[in-house]
Amino acid sequence: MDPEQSFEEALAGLREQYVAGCAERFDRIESLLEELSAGPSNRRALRDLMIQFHGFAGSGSTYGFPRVTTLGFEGERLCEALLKANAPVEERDMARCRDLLESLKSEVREGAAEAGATRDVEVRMPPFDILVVDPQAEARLAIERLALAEGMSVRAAATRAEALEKLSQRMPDGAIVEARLPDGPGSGLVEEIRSFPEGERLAILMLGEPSGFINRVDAIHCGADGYFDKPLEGKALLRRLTNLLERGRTDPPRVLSVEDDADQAAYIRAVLESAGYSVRTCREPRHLAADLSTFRPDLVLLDIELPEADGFALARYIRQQEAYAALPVLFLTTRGHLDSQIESMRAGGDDYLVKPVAPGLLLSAVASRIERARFVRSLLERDGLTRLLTHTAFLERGREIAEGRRQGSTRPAALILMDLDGFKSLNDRYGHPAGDGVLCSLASLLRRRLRQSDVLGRLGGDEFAAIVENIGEKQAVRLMERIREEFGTIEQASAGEPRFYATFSAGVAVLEPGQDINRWRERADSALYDAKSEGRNRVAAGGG
Amino acid sequence: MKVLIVDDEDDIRRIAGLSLSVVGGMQVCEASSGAAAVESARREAPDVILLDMMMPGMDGAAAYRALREQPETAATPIVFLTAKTVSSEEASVRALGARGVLVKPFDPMTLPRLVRELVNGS
Repeated sequence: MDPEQSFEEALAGLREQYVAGCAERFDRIESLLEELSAGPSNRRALRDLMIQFHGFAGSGSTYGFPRVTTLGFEGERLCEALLKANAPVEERDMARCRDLLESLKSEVREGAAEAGATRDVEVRMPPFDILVVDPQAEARLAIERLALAEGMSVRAAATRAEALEKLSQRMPDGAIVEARLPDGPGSGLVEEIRSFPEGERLAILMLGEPSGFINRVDAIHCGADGYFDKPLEGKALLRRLTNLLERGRTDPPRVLSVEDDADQAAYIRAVLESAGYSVRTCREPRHLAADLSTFRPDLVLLDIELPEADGFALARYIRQQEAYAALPVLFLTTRGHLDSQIESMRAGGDDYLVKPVAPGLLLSAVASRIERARFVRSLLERDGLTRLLTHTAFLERGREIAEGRRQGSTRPAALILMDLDGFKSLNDRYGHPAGDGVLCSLASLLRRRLRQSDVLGRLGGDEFAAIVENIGEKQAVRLMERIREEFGTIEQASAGEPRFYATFSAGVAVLEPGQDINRWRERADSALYDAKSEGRNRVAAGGG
Repeated sequence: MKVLIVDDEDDIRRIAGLSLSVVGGMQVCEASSGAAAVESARREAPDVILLDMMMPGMDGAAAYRALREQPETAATPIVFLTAKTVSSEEASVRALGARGVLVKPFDPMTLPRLVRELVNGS
């Protein structure tokens, strides 16, 4: 017997059992919410509630309900933060839990109704894990709420000692540290964190009273990545933190080495790979164009003396293309003459290294340029308001996926175009700051509801786009229907005016074999047009 | 290969059991608490123990220590099963001496392969 088939049959049986068992879990959550409603400081009920959500988080995807897992995670993290804050549960937290419960119910109901649904196991990056160290309970909770809304997992500590204990349990991805702690300066704690084996890779921000320059200098000296004044501008803090955290999650930097000499090529590869770079060697200049577009290097090392074309000509070729205008190019040659140096600058090279080059020099020349180039690119690629990818960057990712070049992936992918309904009139009626708020709330919802591996962009104005991989049309539509419904329930704030609600329309198109990004986008566009013309606030698919 | 699955949730034990036995062709036994795991591990002498972290009563860490103190199971490879894992936590669990960490929710089609890889130390 085919083990996969008998497994599928048995799984279908277990799935039914799981769905049936969920009813009891929902009842349990409901009664815990009632208990909390009656006694907002009931720690035991809050802890039990966390365990209930935890159960959903750990089981959902395994049974083919990926969103049950996402919702469970969110509930668990919320309860965890409230437990740690040791404050009574507020009405807005209760409301969030009730929403989560309702979403869980509809998720399980709809999922169960889908007969013969394919298993859809979500491969999900663990959420960013951060530690907040601040003696003031209110400040801690405020940061926790913001971080949770960004989908992070948060722990909190009031003192240096407590922070060290938490750190010894597990190292977080990032930390936010108040400058004045009851048992010593925050800068001392940051120094200690940096001295731990894994402490170097943490994103650390400090906060404190706006006493100015000295604190900031202290913060830099002790190894923090930034300093924020109190009262906090929470969103700016979170934006900076996310940027720093994402830095650590990106792939290893890629270096394309254009070198015809096999020994030299092997040497460069060995040096760079030992430092964690991913290296591709291009032995013949005529393959350069292909290597640039498939490997997408962060830096090019160019040998000057090459067969066919010389290094300077290749550098000019690279610089002529807009996509590579900011790509660092380092020349590597045995020619130590001044005129080559001048020539290299003219050709658009960033620097010039003379062979034989010492490993340390090669690494530092490569590292500093890649870091700066990545930073510049992150500024160029992200939209300033929503931090989603810009139009150009998004389409570039889309092109990569369409060309199937991402690790030879042939899995299905859906392109989703979204457009806010009547955005112009919202802007006119409530003002541009309120309009910006709507844009940010949609961006934030998309970030929370889609996986971190998914590609998210703001194509311009009120037009958003996402590419979700490993998903079919039906699933993509279902996913977007839920996001659309949820977005419609978010209260938008406006200065002076009453709160209002916004909606969006979406078009979904699944990538078909042989299609390029342009055709793919046209189909999603035409689906979006259908959604708009059918009356807005809806999701349409297909698009011929 | 014989696997002991320790988890307080029936749903997880059931599907892990199915996955390991049907897809992986392994022999499977179960325990629904830390205390039961210590007893069952002694009796069944599994080749590997999958241990849930968050359980009421004796939690995963406590069960881990109890298993290590019991001569019959002191050397049995133990793999933690957790729904809350960041890479640094994985490192600290490994430092405890655990063979590895598997993240819930897992994919039932690939679970047996992951378990086998962890046991064989690849």
